[in-house]
Amino acid sequence: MGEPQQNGRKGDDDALVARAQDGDLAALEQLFNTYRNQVFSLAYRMTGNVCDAEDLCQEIFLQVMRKVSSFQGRSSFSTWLYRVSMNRSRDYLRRKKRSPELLSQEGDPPEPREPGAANAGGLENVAIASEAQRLVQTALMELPLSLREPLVLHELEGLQYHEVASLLRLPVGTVKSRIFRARIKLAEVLEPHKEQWR
Amino acid sequence: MSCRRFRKSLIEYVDGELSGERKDAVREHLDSCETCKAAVEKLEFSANALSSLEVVKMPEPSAERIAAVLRTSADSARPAFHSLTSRLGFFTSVRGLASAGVAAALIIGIAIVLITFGGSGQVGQNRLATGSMPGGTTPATAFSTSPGQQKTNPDLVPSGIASIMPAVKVTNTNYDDKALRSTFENMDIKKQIADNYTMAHAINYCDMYKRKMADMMVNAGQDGAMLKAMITYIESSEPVLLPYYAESANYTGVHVYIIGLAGPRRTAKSEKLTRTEVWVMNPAKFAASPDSSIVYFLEQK
Repeated sequence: MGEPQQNGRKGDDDALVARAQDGDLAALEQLFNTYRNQVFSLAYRMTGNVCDAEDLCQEIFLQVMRKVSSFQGRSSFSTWLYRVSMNRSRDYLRRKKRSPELLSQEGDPPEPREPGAANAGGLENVAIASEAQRLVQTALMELPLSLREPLVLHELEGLQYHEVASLLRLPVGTVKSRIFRARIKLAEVLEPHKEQWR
Repeated sequence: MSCRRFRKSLIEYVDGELSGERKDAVREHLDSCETCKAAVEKLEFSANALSSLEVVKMPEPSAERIAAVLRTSADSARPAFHSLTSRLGFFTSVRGLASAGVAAALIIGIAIVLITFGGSGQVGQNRLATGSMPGGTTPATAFSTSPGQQKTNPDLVPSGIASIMPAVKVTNTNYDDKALRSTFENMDIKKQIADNYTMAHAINYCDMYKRKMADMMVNAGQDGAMLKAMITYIESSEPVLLPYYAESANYTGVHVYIIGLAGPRRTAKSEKLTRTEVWVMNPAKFAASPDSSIVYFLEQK
């Protein structure tokens, strides 16, 4: 999703989207398989835990399935998918915010909460590989959504400033300024653990 | 230039995206400005920290679950899709299906009222008994997990209280309002939860119970992803609910999933999970419109 699309990938996507718009389930599944990791990663960075990321991904792909016919190809499919993902992610986090009891989990690192499931299919594999990664993810969750969104899209997904601006419907200057603030804040939060990156 | 004007360029400077005169100007400014120099150090540090993150891949079980939900949803939309697609397109057909769902829900609602006042209610035999008790009575202790399968996080279990496992059944029972009330009034698991569990349990166990119940439904040959999606939908409007019971059965002749959830009483100060919500939902309609898939709702305080 993040990297600028090569012509081949875009051509593949266009063909798959056209088939999906004709109701071809196999094409939809192929799009799902192509983008599931990228969408999951984005969802994980936004929600901070595996369970929420899975629920959010399900909402995103259901939305894609329902709305794919309205996709008119004015942008690439991956850009459109980003827009759907960010909108669903915002809705999802808003819903969670309405239930403060659940918010305490938001900043938690992913937990191997279900050893049985982990053994069966590998939730453990998703668990953050190192302490440094866990710390960064925790710090990300401390950022307000208005800073986390542009930071994740630019720094982790590799989108250009103008692409982030277009997705979030913000001026480019505002995006740059928010990313600046996000990175400063991130550094301040991680300051006590600085030795992890030396 | 002022620090304010340089600030916008600092990230690009740190990320090596500046060149020529602009880069030289920033470097010169940094020699004389401690504030910007400190900001650059922070930006470099955050870039370093962020670079340690990698793409988090979707776990296979999650991918399978989501793919199953997509397939189910697509199947639900397919009849309307085929009838309209050539002229109106997929989007229109989905909307048409949603409208049809609302109309069907209304018809079912009227049928339920008529049947309820008529007092009918036939109870059939269990067809598949995963998690069911002999005789098809209460399923409270029907499901058990071996220690290896136990999914409860011990840190979350308050000491001194035994873990209560959720239950899942697949039956041919044809419920009506009366039969449904009676089933839940006499359900052991409901009483155990009301006696032992509090809001904290609902919050901590919710996801775990949901997943466990979905797994159990899959083991019983039913659509676990659908059950999970339904519970997620129910909890989106009422977060402090603990799902503890699910049954694939019929309600007035329609195949449904019956989902029991425990929550605290809204007016009482007690945090105990003494209130039960029972949702009867039609899986065939859920994908097109969750709202119109609700066949019946029961609340017991």
